[in-house]
Amino acid sequence: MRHDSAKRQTTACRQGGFALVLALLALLVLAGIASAAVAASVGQVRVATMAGKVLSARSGARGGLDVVFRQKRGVPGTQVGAAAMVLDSGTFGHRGTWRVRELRLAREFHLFIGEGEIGGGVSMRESRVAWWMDPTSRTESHGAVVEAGSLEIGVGSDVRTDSILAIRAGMEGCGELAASPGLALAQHPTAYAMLPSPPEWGSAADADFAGLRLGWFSESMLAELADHELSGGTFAAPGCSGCWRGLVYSRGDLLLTGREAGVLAVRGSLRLQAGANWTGLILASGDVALKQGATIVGLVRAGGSVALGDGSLIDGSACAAYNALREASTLARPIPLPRRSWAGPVPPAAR
Amino acid sequence: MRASGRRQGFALAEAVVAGTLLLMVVQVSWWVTAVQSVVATQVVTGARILDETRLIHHVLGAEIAYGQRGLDWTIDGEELHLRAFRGVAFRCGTEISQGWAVAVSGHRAPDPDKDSVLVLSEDGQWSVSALTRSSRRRSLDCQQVAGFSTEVWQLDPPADGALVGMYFERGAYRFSDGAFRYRRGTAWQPLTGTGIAVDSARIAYMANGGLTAWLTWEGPSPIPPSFRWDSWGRR
Repeated sequence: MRHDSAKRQTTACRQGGFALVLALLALLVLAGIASAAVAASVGQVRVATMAGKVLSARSGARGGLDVVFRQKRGVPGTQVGAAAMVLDSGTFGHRGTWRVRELRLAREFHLFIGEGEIGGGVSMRESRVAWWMDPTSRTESHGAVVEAGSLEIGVGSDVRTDSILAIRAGMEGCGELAASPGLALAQHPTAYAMLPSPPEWGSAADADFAGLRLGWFSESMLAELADHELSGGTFAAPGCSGCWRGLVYSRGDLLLTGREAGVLAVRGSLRLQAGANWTGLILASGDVALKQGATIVGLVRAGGSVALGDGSLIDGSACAAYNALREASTLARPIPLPRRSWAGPVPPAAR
Repeated sequence: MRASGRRQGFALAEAVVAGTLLLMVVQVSWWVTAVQSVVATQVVTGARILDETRLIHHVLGAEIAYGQRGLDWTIDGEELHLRAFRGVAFRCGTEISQGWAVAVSGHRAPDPDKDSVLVLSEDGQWSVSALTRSSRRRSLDCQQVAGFSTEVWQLDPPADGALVGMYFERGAYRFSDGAFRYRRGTAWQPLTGTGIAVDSARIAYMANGGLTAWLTWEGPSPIPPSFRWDSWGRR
């Protein structure tokens, strides 16, 4: 009796165990399949999250570069070939940081490397070539006091070259310019030369540089950055006779009547009335004409002819042009090199 | 004897019930497994489609990022031909009589067998030279930037007063035989699996300077199988 009961119990247990094993096996297979699906889904989420972080970091790096180009003002603080320095830094989004390093490769050419990262993750990098005007280099680019299509000198008028580096009234020193070995005007004072080739003047490929340019500032940029933008006519800004005007841009023929100073860019022709005076740098796409007794102290570059009326004077002064460029604070900024400025790819920085 | 007979009959009923239950468990398990398998296959298929689409999107975006349309990349028929930029270099202070001392960083090392260099000179103009030789050189006076190593390059024609160089290989991309492919030289190598529907994928110019790409994955998919996106170079 006991023996039979025990046998029946054993049989029942065996049957239950058999089903349980199959069920467990099925569950195991199910769990495996579900795990694979979950792993694939989690993998997608991780990849998408990482891709999002990389994109955000890259956007941060690009944004940092944009911020520098939009906001950075003043003259470069680095020397050519000196160690890279952090130009600017900031934050973005949620736990995002960016910074921009500057390498000065030449006097007016810089490489900006933007770095962006999210929460200490991978640091993405982007780089751009920047042009940052250097007054010394700009002044050195002039090979003569007057660079123009032609030069006409009237009776009693003159283009002087004997005081190229002399400091005049109202000017700060130009010691840096004087110390520069690249100033050909100081070594070989020349009254007149033909216009230089692009990229110093003109451009066959880009209309925005064709008529008027200052280094890699195009005519439209000069108009945008001007302290005084005129539509031609006369320049009459009262109360500042002889002081530095910064950058003056005229979109049309201009007549000068008073005593002014600064960087003057004219889209068209420029006439200086009798007794008028301009100290600094003159750039004109057309002709420049000085009436009797008019004076320019500085350097002139004109796409047309330069005509000195009787008794007028161009007193060649690299120092005046240099001071005018230094005083034009709106030009003291980095700009992306026109046409192509992005340089890369630069892989992420190793941590 | 009677008692023993009853026990045997009871054991048979137990066996039938147990067998029935067992069959039910197996059937339900099989059904659930089959359903799960289909779901898992769909998830994995969707993941693969997303992975490969993401790859194509990333590759196209990255490859034209530093290029200018018409100059660095063009679309000829249904092929994207381009200068595939692989890295950047800037000049070091050390002057080398026969070569250009540079600090270099890129996705891969420059290779004179296949690379050319787009060089920026001091007058602000870009020009192309062939990279004829590159060699590592440690004792160069270079500005230190993480990830950049120093090398001496020889270019043909030599680039006097060069400031920055971007080295590149010439390549092409297209969709063909169900895959996204890259060509360097003559061989088209697949970058994805061959699941793209025939004649569904194209690369074309966009009106505003970038490119647009679209494709459809073949076969059943748990997600919409068609994708279309735009990519731009730096502006």
